[in-house]
Amino acid sequence: MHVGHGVPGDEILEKLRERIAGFAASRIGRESAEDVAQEVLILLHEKYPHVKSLDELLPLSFRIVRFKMLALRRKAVRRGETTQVAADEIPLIDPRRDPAAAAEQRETRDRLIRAVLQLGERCRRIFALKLEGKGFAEIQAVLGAASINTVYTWDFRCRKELMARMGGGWEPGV
Amino acid sequence: MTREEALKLAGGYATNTLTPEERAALFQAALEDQAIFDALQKEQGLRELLDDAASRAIILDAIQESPPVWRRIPSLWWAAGGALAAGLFAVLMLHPSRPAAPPPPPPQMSAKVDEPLHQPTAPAPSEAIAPPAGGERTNFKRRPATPAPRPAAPPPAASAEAALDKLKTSAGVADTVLTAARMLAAAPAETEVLRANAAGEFEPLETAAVATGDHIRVAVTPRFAGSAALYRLNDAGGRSLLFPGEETGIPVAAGQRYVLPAAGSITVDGDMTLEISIRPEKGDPQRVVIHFRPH
Repeated sequence: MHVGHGVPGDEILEKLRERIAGFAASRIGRESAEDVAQEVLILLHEKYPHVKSLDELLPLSFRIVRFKMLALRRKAVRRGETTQVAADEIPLIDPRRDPAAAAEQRETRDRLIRAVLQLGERCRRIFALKLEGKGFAEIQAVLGAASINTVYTWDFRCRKELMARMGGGWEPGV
Repeated sequence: MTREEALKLAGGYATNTLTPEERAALFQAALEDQAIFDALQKEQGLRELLDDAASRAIILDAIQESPPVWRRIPSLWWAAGGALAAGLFAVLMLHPSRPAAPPPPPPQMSAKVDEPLHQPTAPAPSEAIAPPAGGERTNFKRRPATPAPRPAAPPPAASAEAALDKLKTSAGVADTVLTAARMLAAAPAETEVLRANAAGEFEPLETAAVATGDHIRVAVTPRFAGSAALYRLNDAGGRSLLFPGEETGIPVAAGQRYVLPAAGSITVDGDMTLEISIRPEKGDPQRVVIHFRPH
């Protein structure tokens, strides 16, 4: 069964399924990846039928996929299994109520702070400005960059360095 | 949009600082290109971390407190300029229509002028709701912990921007202070703490300091329509819903004043942090955080 056939946004959902499966396949194998993609679409279909715009659909999908991948990893580590994660287990409303997730979030936060503090001044400044809610155009004005493309490039390089200092990813194993 | 361009935009996804146009272009590209989709999916962990108001504030504080950030500013100049900016800033923010007003009385709870929230540019509340008497609001600190609304949201009034520009020109204030001021001007809502008096009526906090055991409510005037909910943050980075009973919040209209909780009150039981989450009709929720340090 492929959720989404015959409903509005069918083409978007089909592309989304392909993208999710593609991402998951690089981490957990093709068969399991297809299962993950299908479970995500079922969840979107059953619990979030009102979410239709790409602007909302994509972040929601990223969040579900991340949770499912984390849950699979935890189960695999804990019991040597790669069993399915029931859709109902996903606390999408507030994952911070999950103690394990909260602990991982604290760890990521501390690693992030340590890594950011190792960056050069410009990179730290850009990161801080983004945390303050500034967009690229505003950062361009604050830093006096010649063009917004310059800021895009600075930010891209800074993030690359930051990710490298964090071991190649924001969080391990995801 | 090329893959290279999209990947550069991805840097604004986790911090939720993309414009609607940038976001739409990036998401469309992600749907078409597996590499872009993967890049955004990898950003999701950071996005969720930074969506958490408490975590975001902790990270920002840590970065801004690191010595190299300030190295380029002579310490004496910074101290003098900061003090001057803080004083002028407090006057501007707390008395936007009365620039000559005297500074507020000493705070009775911890106050941090560079993390304000009183918004001088908010739409006028409905006429049925009169603003509270007085204007001193420094006995608690408020911080807009999430990105300012993107262009779709009402922009800060020109008067606040002009005042800040004047401040910058005349006092040579460091950008960080101005940034804090602009965060204030773009706060998603004006908030006010109310405390129950002996008769059980709720009065603005200006009339007395909050103390442990007080019963309080928070009045919220959002700058945009959507829904609002009140949470309490804990030290572990989590939060618990205080009002209403559903995460969906209560529907709110721009410029209208709402009291949270609508019935009952919150008992101050020591240092605590409340978060008012205001979710626009489209887009991510905006948050206002209020720290209490009762005596």
